[in-house]
Amino acid sequence: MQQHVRDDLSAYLDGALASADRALVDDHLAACAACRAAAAELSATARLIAALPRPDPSRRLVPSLETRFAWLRPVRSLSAVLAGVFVLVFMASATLDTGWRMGGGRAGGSAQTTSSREAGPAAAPQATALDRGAVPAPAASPTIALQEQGRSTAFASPAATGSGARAEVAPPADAVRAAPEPPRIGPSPWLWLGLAAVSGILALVAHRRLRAV
Amino acid sequence: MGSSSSPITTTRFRCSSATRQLYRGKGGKDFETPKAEGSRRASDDRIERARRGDARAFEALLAEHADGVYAHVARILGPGGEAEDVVQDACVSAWRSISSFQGTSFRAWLFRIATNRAIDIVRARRRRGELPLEPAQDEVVTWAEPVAGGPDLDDLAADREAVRVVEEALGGIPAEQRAAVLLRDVEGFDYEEIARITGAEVGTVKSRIHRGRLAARNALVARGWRGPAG
Repeated sequence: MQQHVRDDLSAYLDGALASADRALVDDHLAACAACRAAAAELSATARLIAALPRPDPSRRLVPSLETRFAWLRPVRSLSAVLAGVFVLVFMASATLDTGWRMGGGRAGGSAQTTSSREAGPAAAPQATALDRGAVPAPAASPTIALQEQGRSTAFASPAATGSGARAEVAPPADAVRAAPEPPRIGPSPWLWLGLAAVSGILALVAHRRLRAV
Repeated sequence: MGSSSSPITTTRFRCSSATRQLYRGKGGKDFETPKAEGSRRASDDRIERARRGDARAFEALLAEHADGVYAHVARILGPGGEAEDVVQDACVSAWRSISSFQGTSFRAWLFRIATNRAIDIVRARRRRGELPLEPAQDEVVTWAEPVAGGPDLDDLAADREAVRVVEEALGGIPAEQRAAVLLRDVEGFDYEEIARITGAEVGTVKSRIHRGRLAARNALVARGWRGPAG
């Protein structure tokens, strides 16, 4: 007689045995009354377990995922996009601003050149010379330099009538450097960075709140 | 199978047939009716929408399965607030990770999350001494000999006392065994699905189910019931 197959009976009853093993159990059960009885008992026990009462919950178990914080989803998306846009704007603005600052002399020179052009064609060489710093003229102080710059502008027109006045009207280079900065185009780059930070924080808060639902 | 006139063959056929009848349709493995197919397609559609973040579709999915999951967890932990909390936590956890869900059975996935949480709680209770230490998983379970004269096990399905005995017996076995038996006998998952749900090998699942059933059978026999005539 074959060895008893009791350990395989549950899998046999559940159809979880491979075909070869199942055939072995079939053969054994055909010859062993004890194992047949054991199989019948296990089958009856399984039916009893299946008949266990089904407990019901005392409250609704499905959390409301849609209604409470649905509005946070677009807020999160929009804030994230805005944060990215603001960062890009900040970078662009900061680059322009830095270039503007580094080219401050040129910017002053350009302004000067513009006034020279307004003054007349004869003033152009003067502006060029100014750009190159070819006419160094020490100034005692920025105030004096400014006064001298104003004077030079005032003399620019008469200079257009004669070349002899050219050296007299040339302002010192320091006066140009100390000239007031032209007005900035657009807001400060730091404003964009601040907006990017605020948007990023908003997106993060919305994301955390949505995850906590 | 041979002729059904032989008592041996009759018994063998009766076991297999009864068990198949018990489980047929629970797992949807043997056949799929048009209605079941439509339901499955609707469920697949909801899963896809939920993956894309549709909370309403996900809630509909949960509504299909939450009570069943609760019944399963309540049989492991006992009914009440703790089992309800486990199910709600499982629902929220499933929602958080629905985008990474790759399986085919949302139900099995939800059962896996809830079952693991429930087993963790049972273990914690045992560590805190709130529950007696459970027997070792590999402890040898013997077959108790039936006492002559008791009612037949087949006649016990409607017997409340028998049901209570079975519940007690399942309460005394390791949580992993209990979960495996319940997933098979009550929820109708097949062995491979139970292995995925519990994170165990199929061989381990076979052993757990067999031991769990045997423990319940022995508890019944100890109360004077006897098995069907073999």
